[in-house]
Amino acid sequence: MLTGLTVAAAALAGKYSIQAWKSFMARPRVRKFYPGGFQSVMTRREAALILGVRESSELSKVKEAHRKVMSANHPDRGGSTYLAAKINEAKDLLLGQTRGASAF
Amino acid sequence: MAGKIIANLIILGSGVLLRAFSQAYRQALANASKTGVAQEAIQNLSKSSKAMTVQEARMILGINENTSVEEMLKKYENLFERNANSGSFYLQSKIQRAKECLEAAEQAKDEKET
Repeated sequence: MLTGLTVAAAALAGKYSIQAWKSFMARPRVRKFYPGGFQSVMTRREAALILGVRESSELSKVKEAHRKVMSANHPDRGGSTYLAAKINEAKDLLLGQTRGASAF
Repeated sequence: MAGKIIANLIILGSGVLLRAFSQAYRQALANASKTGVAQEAIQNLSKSSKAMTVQEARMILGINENTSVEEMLKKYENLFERNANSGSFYLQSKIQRAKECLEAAEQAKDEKET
């Protein structure tokens, strides 16, 4: 009878721990903001982050993302010229490397 | 007799191939030392660990030194909202960090004056 009770206790403990683990994994994630300022020399990674695309995205996706992000940050509509310049630089960087597609 | 010629050709061919591969590999190593993921990681460590400067924060929000705090907050909210809808999370982060930087600078200024 004792072994039966211990088995039952272990099963309950297991069930409880699995439930706790599931709710821990499913907790709502609050995304942390990226720290610091812009990089002094823009990299492809930063350019992709600015436009919200993958580094390997194709031309049309990059252009579409550029238009969308630019509409949110256009200087004529209250955006800053600095951010607009960064967005344009990001687009040029990604387009230059996607169109060229050199092996080296 | 033909077998010897073929054997020689094969040996010569593989020699040429080996040389070509080793050269290409060396070139790839040299390229990788200049750019590539490892280099970028090193650069990122040294560069983006720098905190945002007040000057950059002002440029991001599009204000100057004489702008009031309310004006700055208005610009921040406007930019933050617009980027939350159709911008990127990265840009949102920079706008957030700009506001935090300017608020900290404002607080430091107030503490110095009092």
